[in-house]
Amino acid sequence: MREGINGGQLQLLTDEQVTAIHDAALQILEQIGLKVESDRALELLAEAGAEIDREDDIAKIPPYLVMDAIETAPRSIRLSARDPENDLMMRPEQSFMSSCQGPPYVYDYESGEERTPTREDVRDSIRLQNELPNIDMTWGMFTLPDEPMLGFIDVYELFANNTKHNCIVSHYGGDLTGKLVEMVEIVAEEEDQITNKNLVTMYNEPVSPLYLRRETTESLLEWTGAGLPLISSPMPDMGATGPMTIAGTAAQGLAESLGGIVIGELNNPGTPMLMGSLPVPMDMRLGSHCYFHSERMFYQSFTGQWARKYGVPVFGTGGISDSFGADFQLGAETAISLYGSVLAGQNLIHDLAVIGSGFRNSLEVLTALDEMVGMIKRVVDGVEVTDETLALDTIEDVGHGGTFLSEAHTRQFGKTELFMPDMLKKREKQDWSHNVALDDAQEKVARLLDEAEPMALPEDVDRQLQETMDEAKHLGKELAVL
Amino acid sequence: MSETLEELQEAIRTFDEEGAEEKTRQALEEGIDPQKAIEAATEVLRDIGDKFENGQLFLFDLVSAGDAMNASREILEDEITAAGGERQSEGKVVLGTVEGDIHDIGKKILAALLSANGYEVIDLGVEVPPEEFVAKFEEIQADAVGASAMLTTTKEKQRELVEVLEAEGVREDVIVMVGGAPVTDEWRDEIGADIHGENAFDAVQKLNETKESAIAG
Repeated sequence: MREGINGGQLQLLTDEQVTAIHDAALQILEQIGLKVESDRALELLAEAGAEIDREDDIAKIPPYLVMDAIETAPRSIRLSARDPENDLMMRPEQSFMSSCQGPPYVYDYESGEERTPTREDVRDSIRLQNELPNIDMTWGMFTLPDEPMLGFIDVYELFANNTKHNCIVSHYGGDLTGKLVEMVEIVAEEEDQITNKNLVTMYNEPVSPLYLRRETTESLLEWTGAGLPLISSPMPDMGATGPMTIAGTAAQGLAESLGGIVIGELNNPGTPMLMGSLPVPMDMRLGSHCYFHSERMFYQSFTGQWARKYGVPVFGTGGISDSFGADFQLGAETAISLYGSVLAGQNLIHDLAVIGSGFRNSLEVLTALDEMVGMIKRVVDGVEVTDETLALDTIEDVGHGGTFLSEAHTRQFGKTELFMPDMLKKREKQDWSHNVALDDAQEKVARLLDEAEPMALPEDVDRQLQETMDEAKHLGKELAVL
Repeated sequence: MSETLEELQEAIRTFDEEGAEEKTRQALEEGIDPQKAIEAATEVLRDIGDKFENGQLFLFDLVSAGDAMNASREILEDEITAAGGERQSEGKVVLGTVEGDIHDIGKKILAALLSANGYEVIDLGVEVPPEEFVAKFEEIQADAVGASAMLTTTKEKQRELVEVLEAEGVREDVIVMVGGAPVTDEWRDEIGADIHGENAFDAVQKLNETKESAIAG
């Protein structure tokens, strides 16, 4: 079982503020409602007692339905890997790390430029993550342009190149989601060492403001219907698709996330779900998205606070930057956001190495951040205070004006008390050069990709997966014609 | 400038949609030439666009002023059309977000900046099928059609737009603009569009240049 990080030391909102935001979210769901573009979902909501306006597909969801859903959603979720020793228990007290799919470009560290990703890049990103010790869940890191079957290629490459991690995939339209479920079931059934079939977690994003589109909702119903874990998390743009204020966007985002949770739990009571909200404010000088902003820590904090309040794990965001390359901004923003996400107690922390305001992903940055996660783990492990670590005997032995260098106590703790980073250098000034950390990361990426030996899929599983993908491709074409 | 037109400008400058409508109607009652009123309104929006471009004003200022300007513009254009005339502008641009896509914001910013630059903008909204772009273009004889797509799956509709224009035999009569997160110069070339706007400023600048070179050519 993979061990998570015990975060959650930071609480930037008072309990009263969290409750007020919760109450506002319930008001939004009951008074304003959600637009839900799915007859099946609207029927589920109507049967359960929501007020439905069929003309505009608006569902007004009473508070008791929300509270029932929160109660029904499991508090901890076993997320499986092909290698069950790497399963993990996602729960409100623990943090786990993941990259993210979405960026349409590869940041090419060698040239400093961006380029369009290929399937090879997706595969490399998966093989690399499988080797990084502090990355816990894997997402194919690049969006392939002009590839409508992207999610299927992702799932196939994830199964074929990654054994240590639970996988994440972005949502698809209804019938295609059914085919993705089939792929998960093929691998789960064939590999008898797998404890449960939760091999892939789906990311499902309501559109802000207050809109569950047909595709999103259908995929939510298919995926939760199969009992597979699903993340319901919107991305409101402060000032554009959400209110300009932090509290207002928090309330709206919470309502949107809860809307997905209610539908999922009505569809299949007890199905594993994660809440979340990832507000991305718009820079009002440029009209661009800011993945990093200093106030992100508030959102990190109160989603972490939701997790503990509701007893439902939450999706989180860290290790991100709006910088397009190797500079001060990249280091500052990735570090602050990564520390914030863990200290805030977010649970499935994604987006590591997403840079350039969501446009670029970088294997080198991910590798450097993998080490940074190690540093954070050391910090949240806390300080050990015992007679031995207080070292009174040693202090007495050394006495006044002496040295601790030759003490047994120093040798005893010298290699373990402090985290020793490889990439963040402590060196003589004559050895200094630019970007030394990312230069090292680049070498490490090459070495790890060279050494990677993911456990191959059994031949018949591979064949079945390929066949399912072909069927999905055919189905996709039919849908496109319709 | 008449006092009423100054008040109209002030209404747009202070993002007052209702005030802009009221002052527009008042101007027409006073017999002010609607073309003159449009020019007065455009002057304010151009000033706001310039201030946004050099960082003195913010996006919400630009879009809010654009909404107020639109409220006035619609009344004035109706008046011009009713009198059998045609609005004088830098050109007519039909804008929309493609079918299957509901991303509205980038297009809205572009609409405001185009208006600020004296263009007549017809915003068809979101989820616009290729045929609707083309029908509107043919109806008003637009100079340019701009299609926004924010998803890799929906940008294919930009290609369809070009194909429908070709099928109608009108491709050469219109400047095709494409934009959105997944859109690149390579994509523009592949589908045979004319302009890829990296952002709203870039799109306006390239449209100005393309129009000028078309006139020079």
